[in-house]
Parts: sequence; structure tokens; C-alpha cells
Amino acid sequence: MIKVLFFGRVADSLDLRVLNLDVNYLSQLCHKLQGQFIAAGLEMNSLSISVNQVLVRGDMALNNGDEVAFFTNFSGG
Amino acid sequence: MVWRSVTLIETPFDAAVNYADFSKRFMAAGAVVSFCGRVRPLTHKGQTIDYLYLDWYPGMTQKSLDHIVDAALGRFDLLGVFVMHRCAKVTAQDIIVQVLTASAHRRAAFEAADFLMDKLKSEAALWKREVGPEIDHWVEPSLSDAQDLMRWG
Repeated sequence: MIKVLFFGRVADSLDLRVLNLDVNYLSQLCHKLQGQFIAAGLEMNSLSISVNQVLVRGDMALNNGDEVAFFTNFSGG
Repeated sequence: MVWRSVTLIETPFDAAVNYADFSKRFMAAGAVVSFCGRVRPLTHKGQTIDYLYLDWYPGMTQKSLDHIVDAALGRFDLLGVFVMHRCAKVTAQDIIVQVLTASAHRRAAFEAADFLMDKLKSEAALWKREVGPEIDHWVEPSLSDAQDLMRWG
């Protein structure tokens, strides 16, 4: 099972902070979420993705217990 | 080993106490620089801001702050560095971030504080929402923040 987290505007737009999904690849996860993202007015391509708290680009295999997060660019300070 | 303290905190803090403690710790330093960033009470369009909400990713946000401090320590000749950054709800006019640097000579302390702030604005894993009587929106990174960051190569 993969733990999926959402932060900032992404969490707000989806009205969702966390969910658990059974997927094997990041691309598979993105595909599963695409409909929800579009409905919430979010462009998947403009979002940052981290796996186990490390920013990633492109597809990769996911393992049971991995944590994937979706968010917009940081705007701190 | 350079002394460092990097804290993400959900509640208001006393910047004067932090400064006093830091300054006392580095009595032999030739330079101590202190910077505090406050939440502005107005947006750039003049709308009232009641508070900011800074969303954060437990673990990853702390790592991003640590990484920024690592970069400063790798670049400037510092004796000590202190960063305290608020998250969650931060009321207008509250201090949102405090940066303290100590060095043997002033240039390193000044430049390190400047560098740390530019990095924190763009690379700290935080997401900022402005809330007021007429507004409630997530803030996107600004062009000026990106330009500030580019000063450091």
C-alpha cells in the first residue's frame, strides 16, 4: 500500500490530505489521480512530486509503505 | 564544528530572547547579525491580511531547512547559525522567521543572513495562504523571490 499525501493548494483544492492506494508505479498513481486533479482544477504537470520526502521527476517503481506527496512550488518565508 | 540550531515551530516565539541567547553564546564573535521577517498586514494590492497559514510537510520541511543551513555553512565562514521558522497559523505582524548568524568579521554574517533568507523564501518546504476579510488564497512563488535566489548562482 502506498501512502499518498497532499499539501497546500493541492490539499485545499482536492479537500483531501491523505489516502492509501495500491499501485506499483508512480505513473500508475498519477493516472489514477488524474481525474480528481482535473476536477479540482489542478494541472498534474505543474505539480511537484516527492517519494519518501525526496523530490522526483519521471516514472519510478513504488514499494509497499512508500510515501508519495503532491504539492505546488514552495512559497515560504 | 559550527554551532547550529534549526527549528520549525507552530507557536509564536520571543525573538529578543533568541537573540540574547545567541549573542551570549558568541561573545567572542566579531559580528552577530539578526534578521526577523514579519507578516505584513496588507497584500501588495492593499488588502488586509488577518493571518497567514503556512502548510508544512512533517519531516520534509525540517529537512529542507537543514539543507538550506548546510548550504550557508558550506559557503560562508560562520561560527554559528540559528534559524527559527513558523508554520501553521501566523497572525499579521507576528514574526514568521528569525535568522541569526555569527562570524569573526561582519561580511560573512551579513551575507549568510541574506543568503539564508533568499533560500528560505524559495526552498523551504512550506506553502503559504493569505487570509483576510476579502481574501483567502494560496500564494504562488514570486518572480522577485526567484530573482533574489539567482543572485547566489
